[in-house]
Amino acid sequence: MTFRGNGHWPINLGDATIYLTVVVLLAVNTALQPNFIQVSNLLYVLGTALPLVFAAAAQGLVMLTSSIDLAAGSIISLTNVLVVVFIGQGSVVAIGLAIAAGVVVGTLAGLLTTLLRLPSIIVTLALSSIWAGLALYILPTPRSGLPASLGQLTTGSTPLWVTLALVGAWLWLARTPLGKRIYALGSSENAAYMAGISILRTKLIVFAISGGLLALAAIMLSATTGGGDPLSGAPITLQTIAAAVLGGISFRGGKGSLVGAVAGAIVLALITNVVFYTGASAFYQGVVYGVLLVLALALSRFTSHRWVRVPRPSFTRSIG
Amino acid sequence: MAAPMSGRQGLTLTSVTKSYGPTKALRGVSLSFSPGEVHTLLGENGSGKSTLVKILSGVVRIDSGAIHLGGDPLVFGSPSDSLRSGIATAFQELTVLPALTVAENLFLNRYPRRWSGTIGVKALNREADQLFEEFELELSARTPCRELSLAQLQLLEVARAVSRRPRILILDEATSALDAPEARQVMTICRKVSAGGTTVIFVSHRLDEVLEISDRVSTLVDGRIGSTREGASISHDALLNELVGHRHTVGVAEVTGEARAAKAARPPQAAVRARFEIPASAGFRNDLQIELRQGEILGLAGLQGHGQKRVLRILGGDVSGHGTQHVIDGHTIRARTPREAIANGVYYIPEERKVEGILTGHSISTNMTLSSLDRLTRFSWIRRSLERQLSKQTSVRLGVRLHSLRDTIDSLSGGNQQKVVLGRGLLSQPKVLLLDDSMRGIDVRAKNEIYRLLAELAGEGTSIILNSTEIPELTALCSRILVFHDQDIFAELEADQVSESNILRAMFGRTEERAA
Repeated sequence: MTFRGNGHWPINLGDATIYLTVVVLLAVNTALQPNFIQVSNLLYVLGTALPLVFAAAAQGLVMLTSSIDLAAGSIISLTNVLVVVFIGQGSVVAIGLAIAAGVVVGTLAGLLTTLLRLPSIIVTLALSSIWAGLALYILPTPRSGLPASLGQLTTGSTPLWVTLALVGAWLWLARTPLGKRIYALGSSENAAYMAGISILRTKLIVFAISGGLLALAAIMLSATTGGGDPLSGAPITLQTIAAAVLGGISFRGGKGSLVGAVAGAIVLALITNVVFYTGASAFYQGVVYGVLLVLALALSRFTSHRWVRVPRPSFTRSIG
Repeated sequence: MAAPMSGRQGLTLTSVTKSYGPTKALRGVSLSFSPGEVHTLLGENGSGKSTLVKILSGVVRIDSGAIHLGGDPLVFGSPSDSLRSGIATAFQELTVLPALTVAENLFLNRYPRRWSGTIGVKALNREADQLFEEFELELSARTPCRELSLAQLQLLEVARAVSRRPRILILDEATSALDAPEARQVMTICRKVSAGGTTVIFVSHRLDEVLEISDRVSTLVDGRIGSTREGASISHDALLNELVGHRHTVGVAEVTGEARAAKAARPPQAAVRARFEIPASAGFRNDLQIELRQGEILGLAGLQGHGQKRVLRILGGDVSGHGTQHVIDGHTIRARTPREAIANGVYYIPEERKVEGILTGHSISTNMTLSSLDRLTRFSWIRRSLERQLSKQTSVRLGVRLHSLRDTIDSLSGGNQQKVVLGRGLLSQPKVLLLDDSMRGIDVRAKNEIYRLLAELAGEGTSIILNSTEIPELTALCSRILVFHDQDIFAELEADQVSESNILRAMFGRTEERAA
């Protein structure tokens, strides 16, 4: 069951199973706690999930080009800290500065992977430790005191509009030449290059957008916590990868949709919710979370259009 | 050179066949090799030589037939089986590990051990140097292999095979990367080894070498043995006539009949469309200059690895041309990447469709429009209707047999996939189209349709350079052909000179036909 965003389906939604998973988890949550399904509660859950939603979109975009960003969490920490530190200059300045920093930091990762031809997994691992250190240098201990106005970003009906805006932005991007280039690059860098696509430019733009989205994730995080924390981003990196994979974005790139990654992030939030409702003790919460994650992944595999088969390279290419 | 001994001691092949999918590489080869003889296999690209070598070295298995060595049947499962039976091969593709020293590479997997289980480095180096002395090789045991030249690496590859003291030594184009002095060293090895009773199976395209060293020469033509002759009774021309005469051309001639007619109907070309100047520093023996007229289909021919493919990749911007000049319609253009080349009207269609051509899992129309995305947009959106319209027009023109443009490209046959890649090129509106053996391995019908299209494009004024390993394809489509030999343009054949035998001769570095 697949919405073939790249051809079959008019809009680019990726693998359909993730949306099914969302529905299943909504049902499970409601079964455990009948009040769950109320609109205000759903909006609240979405609000708490927003940082991960943006971060997963950032990761998904990078993964579409068959790269990976292990610095996602550290970039969130860094930009999160910047928001709090510069909030005195006004919200607009703080937010603008954070986004600018995210874009610069993302572009740097793109430059290093393309110009030096280093694998993104190593480059971003190294950068991750630099940005994490920088965040701690700027703000050694967590600080609160953000204006209440910022908190409105993740309360009321705003989370819904913000999410829809993100989805809309992706659907637009997917229909531009840049969107096509991202998919082309992800499915075969060689073929894309031979077809005249600039690998450098496409990757730079992708990493820049991704950095911007991570800054937005950090702003959402500040909005939910009301402060800044130099360690806040650390656990997010692996969650972003989990969300993207759940959402049907392949590690090998070129396949999937950011809408899927957004849904993947929502699935992770719903799983957290289930763990909370089961009343498992703190010791077992990790175990329950892990088991549910594996179940969700298995669900997406079994209902997927077909098993992904990797074509084996033939040993003897030329004959005669 | 020992006189060939007959009998059951040697290596015999009986009715050996091998197919790769629909392609028949060997159609029943029976051949015997005697101990102590140097036996050369000669044939053009795709004649089955490499397949035969791969079978004997255990890389691929035979479909039917039998192989006996010294009277015992040989059944190979892997290269190590082949080595155990006493067959050692020096491959054309190098298998030397650059991180190790010469001696370490030479005895890889067979290191002398000391009592402690560690490798006896002194013994290792001593044995290596002894071997080099015995065979008069200019190599030193302790040199790290990354410091060796290409020629030295090739010699090491040969030495490694020889060091196993094999009953059968196979040299697969071991001299093709070598200049004369190093090639002499390989010939010396051949003589010494065969004097010791080893059979040497020699694969080479250099006729002078072949005639000097061989006791017997067998020609392979289209997967069959053309003839086997005694060394003394052979001349250059006799060998070449053999290769030309036995060519199995019936099928291709039928296919290309129409293209041939189209070629005849084309008016003589006038204006120069493009001029390419490639400096020798890009890996050629001389500076190359290639002129291309408007509406011309220029052919490139040559045996594998003689430079014609690199020329095409340089022109297409994929390989650095070391300051190659591209002049199109009187303007010098930049083409350092495929992107720049395409923007300036030069489109290169690669041979490896699966690796460099198609985007698997994506729709036919996405694949088709990949090089012309910016033409499709309005306010930065891709206009779906325009995308569909252009893809449809192009696929109709190319005769792509498809169900829906939205289907993934994987659903198409190889020939139709290649048409889509060609369509991608056409949509970029090129002035010069470069085809790199692009019709290889696709079905006859699709080939025929592409031939017709190329003739049509040329008629409209597009200039085409076609590199092909299929000689009939070249004679059918091209009125001018550049034949490459040894990293240089060896011959330029025009009009009446364009014939299969002339092309083949030039590929082997021979010019005119003499009385055989």
